[in-house]
Amino acid sequence: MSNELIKRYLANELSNDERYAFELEMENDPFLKDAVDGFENFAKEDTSFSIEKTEKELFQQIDQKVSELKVDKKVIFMNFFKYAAAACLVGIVAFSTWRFILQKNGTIDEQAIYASNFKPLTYPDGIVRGENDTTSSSKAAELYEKEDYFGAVKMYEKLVAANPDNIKNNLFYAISLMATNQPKKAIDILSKITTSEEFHFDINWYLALAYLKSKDLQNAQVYFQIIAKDDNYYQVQAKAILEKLDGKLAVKD
Amino acid sequence: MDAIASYSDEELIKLYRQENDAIYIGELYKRYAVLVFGVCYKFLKDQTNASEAVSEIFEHLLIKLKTQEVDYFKSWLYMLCKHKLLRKIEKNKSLETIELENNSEKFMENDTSMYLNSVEEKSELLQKALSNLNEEQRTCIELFYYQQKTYQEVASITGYELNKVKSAIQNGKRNLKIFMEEKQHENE
Repeated sequence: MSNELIKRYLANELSNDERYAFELEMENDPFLKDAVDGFENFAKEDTSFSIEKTEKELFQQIDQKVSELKVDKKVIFMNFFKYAAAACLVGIVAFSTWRFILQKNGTIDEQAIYASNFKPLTYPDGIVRGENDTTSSSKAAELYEKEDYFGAVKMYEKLVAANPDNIKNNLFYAISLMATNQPKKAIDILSKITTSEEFHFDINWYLALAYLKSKDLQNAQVYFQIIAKDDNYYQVQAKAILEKLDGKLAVKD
Repeated sequence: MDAIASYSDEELIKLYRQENDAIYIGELYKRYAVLVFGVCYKFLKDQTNASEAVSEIFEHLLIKLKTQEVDYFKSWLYMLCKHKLLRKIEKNKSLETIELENNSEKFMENDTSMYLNSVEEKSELLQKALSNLNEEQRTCIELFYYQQKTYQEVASITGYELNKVKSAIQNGKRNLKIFMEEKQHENE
C-alpha cells in the first residue's frame, strides 16, 4: 500500500472501485486501518495536514537519526583513537618521567660515584722526568703533577700524536682529559690501549670511570667488571661501584 | 544509494545485521513510517507525541532487529507499535484510566480482524453467524462485503454516520468470529 494511495484516499481522489478496494484492504490490514483512522483524525484537527508533508518530516527525522548514528559511530571510532592516543601520551609521559627520574637519579649517582672515585693517577715514582723522555714529555709530566691538566692535555696531545704507541703518555693524556672534563676524548684514547699489559688495570679503571662520567653505564659496568674480577688496587672500589650501578643498567643513552 | 530501495524488508534486516549500518533500517522504516505515524496519532491524539513515538519506535527497531528473528516485518512492526503505544499510554498519567481501557479494546478489535481474512463466501455456518448479528452490524457487513459498497455508500444507504458504519463492520466481524469459533468448538 503506497503512501500515494493513502493520500488519494484521504483526498477522496479514488474511483468508487479503487475506494472500495482500499477499504477492503483496510479491513484485512489493521495496521493500515489504524493509520488511516489516525490521518483522518489528524486532518480533522489540522486542516493543513498532508501526507506528503508528514512523509517528508518523518523521512527527515529518520535520515537525521541515521546520520547521528553514523556520527556517533565515527565519534566512538575517533574517541577510541583519541583515548588510545591519550593513553599512549600518558604512557609516554609516565615512561619519560620515570626514565627522567631514573636517569636523573642515575646521573646524580654517576657523578657522585665518579667524583668520589676519580683521582688522577699519581705519576709513577720510578719514572724520572727527562730520563728517557723528550723535553715535551718532562714538561707534560710536570704540568700533570702540578695539576695543570689543561696544560698537560696540550702537551700529551702532541706526545701521543708523535708516538701513539706510548702507553704511559696515552694513559696520562686520557687522565688529563678526564680531569678537564673531557671523558669522551679520554674514552677514545683509553679504548685503543685496553689490551696493554702495562698500566693494564689503570687503563681499564680510568676507562670505566670515563664511561661512568659519560653516563654510559653499560660500558662502564663492562670495564668495572674487568677490574673487579682480578686482584688489583681498584678491585674493591670497582665491586662497590658495580653494586651501586646494579638496577640502573636499563637506562642507556 | 538507489540500490538500497530494491532490497526486500528481509534483505535490509540481514544487511543491517551484517554491516551494523543504520541506513538499512532507515530505509526499511521509511517504508512504514507514515503508517506508524498514523497509528501513533490515532492513539496519542497529538502530533508532537506521535512524532516522538515514531522516533522511539525507530530507535527500538535499531536495537531489536540486531537479534530478533522477524518472519514478516510489517506485522511485527504493527505489533511493536501497539506494544510501545500501550506502554506509552500507561505511563502517561494525564490520561484517564477509562481512556486506556478504550485504547486497549481498540487494539484487541484490530487483533481480531487479523484472524478474519474473508467473509465473502457465505457458508452455512457463516449464514447462521450473520443472522445472529444485530440488524445494524448485519446490514453494514452485507453491504460492505457482499454488495461491495464503500463505507460512504453504506452510510448513505443505511443513514448511519460514517464512524458508526466502520465500527458496525468492525464489531460485526468480531461477533462473527466469536460465533463461528464457538460453533466449531461445539462440533469438535
